[in-house]
Amino acid sequence: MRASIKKFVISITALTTLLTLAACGNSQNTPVEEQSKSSNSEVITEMPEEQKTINTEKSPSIDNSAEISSSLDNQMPPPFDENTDSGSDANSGFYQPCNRILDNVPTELLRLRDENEVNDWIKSFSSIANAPDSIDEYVNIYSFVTRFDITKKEAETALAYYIDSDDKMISISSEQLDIIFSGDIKAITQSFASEYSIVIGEFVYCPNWIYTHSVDDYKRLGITAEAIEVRADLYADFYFTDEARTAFSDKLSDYTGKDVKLNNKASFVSTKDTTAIKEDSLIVDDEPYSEIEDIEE
Amino acid sequence: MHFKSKKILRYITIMLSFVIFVSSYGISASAVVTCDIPISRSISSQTLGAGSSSTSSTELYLYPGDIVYLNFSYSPASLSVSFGLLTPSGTFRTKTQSTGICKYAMTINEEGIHKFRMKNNSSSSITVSGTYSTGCSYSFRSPYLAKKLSRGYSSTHYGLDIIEPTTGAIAGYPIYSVSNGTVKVSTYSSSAGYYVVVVGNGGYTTRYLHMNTTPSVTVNQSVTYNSMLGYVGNSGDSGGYHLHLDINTVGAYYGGSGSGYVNYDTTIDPEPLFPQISFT
Repeated sequence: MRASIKKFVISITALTTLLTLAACGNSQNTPVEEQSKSSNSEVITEMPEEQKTINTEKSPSIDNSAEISSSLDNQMPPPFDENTDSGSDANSGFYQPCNRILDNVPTELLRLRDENEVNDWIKSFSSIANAPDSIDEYVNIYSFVTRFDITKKEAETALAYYIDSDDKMISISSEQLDIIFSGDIKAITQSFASEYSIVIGEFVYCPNWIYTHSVDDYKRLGITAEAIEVRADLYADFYFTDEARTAFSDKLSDYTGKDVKLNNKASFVSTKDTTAIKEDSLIVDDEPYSEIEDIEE
Repeated sequence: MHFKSKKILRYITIMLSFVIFVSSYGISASAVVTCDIPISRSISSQTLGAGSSSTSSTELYLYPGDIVYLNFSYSPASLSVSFGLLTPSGTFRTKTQSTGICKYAMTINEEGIHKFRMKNNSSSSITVSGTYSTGCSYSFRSPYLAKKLSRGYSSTHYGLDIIEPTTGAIAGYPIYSVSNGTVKVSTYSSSAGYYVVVVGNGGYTTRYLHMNTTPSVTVNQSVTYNSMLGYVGNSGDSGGYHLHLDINTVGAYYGGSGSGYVNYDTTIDPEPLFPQISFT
């Protein structure tokens, strides 16, 4: 609901801006009627490739009526034990809509702009636990380069170490950077969505969104039973409480019409014994080793 | 033809020698204990006769800068007992106590095989219990100024949450690397906040989460245990100012389930590596 209000405000702001620019005879405005009704419009200013920045202005004609009427499922218990749900990134797969490439903003990029401004911008977002459904609603590389008008050339220079790096854990390809700088939210979302998330058009529904929203929202937004079903096995990875696991299984079973069991593959009931220390075996010796006494530092 | 055969024979001999050399080197190398995970050994109620010594059969291959933590108690407490390591050069490096307790972090200055050793300097027999542990080819230094845990390692939390002892919060305190290594991740994510991942030479991967602003280091930067990585904060999915420190041995950078990620099954309990930090 909060996201919907934000989108509405953005839309009004964009409309006002467009009208103002039009009144001033600004030639850079883009006619509203030329923009797609079904997607956010991204206006790429005509510049040389290396100077290209992403200039996204939300179209006032965005059809987000489904969003406006979305509702949270108040019947769902907290998904995780309090101890597992803060102070780390244990549940990042549950909360992050996209994969590590998009959802991690490297320091080299962050340093391109004023530190305080960057911090203020990051703090302007609500918690990731509020289930954003669009890549412009939380911190990621796309939202960062858009907000701070980072050019592709700047990004390529800053991310030189990452581009096609041998370290696959941090590597980003030139093609992926091209997609991010295309400004095409739909293409970016579809390219970088997490394996756990469901993508419909330019919207991305992470497991937390699925968990917290009602099945009525699933239907309205076109989230099919099949899409849920194929991810049920992945959802089982999360460290849900027993109560949450049962509630989520029941909800997904009701929606898909199948017996969905989120059997806890990932369980904190582990056999790992972190306190086990082997008993040492000592041999009596009377060798006359020279001795050096350590002096306390 | 005869000349050619001799040449071939010589060639085969050289190749065989090389293979034998490599094989024997391999055998001797594999016999050396180099560990990728910390070694801890306990001694339970071991009696040590008057004036006698005992040496462990466990071999520790250590490098300069590594630390071995000695944590022993003995009785009668008033007697003199030396705890320490038998070094590769044949010296017994000791920490002698006459208090019944030996809690000491011994910094290694020689490379090679070390063995734990203890010696009863008194004329009465003693009973010793305790542990020694090491990070092996890896050394740790406590996070600067952070000496109190707010949350330890458990099946529901795979790292340490470290706060300041008096105020309970450590906003803006500098974070130093606890090891030597290379920065592999320096980034912001909505879950972990600003964070840094350092991969150490011994294969340990340490992660420092929820920094208060952009980290001080960038990717591929070499760090030592004196390098400042950033400042303690409350960024990302965090419930208050603290440093979340976790350590894994599989080179994982990101939190999540499965073997390639940081989770309970891929991490170790860091607490024994930092005896200076406690809940008190």
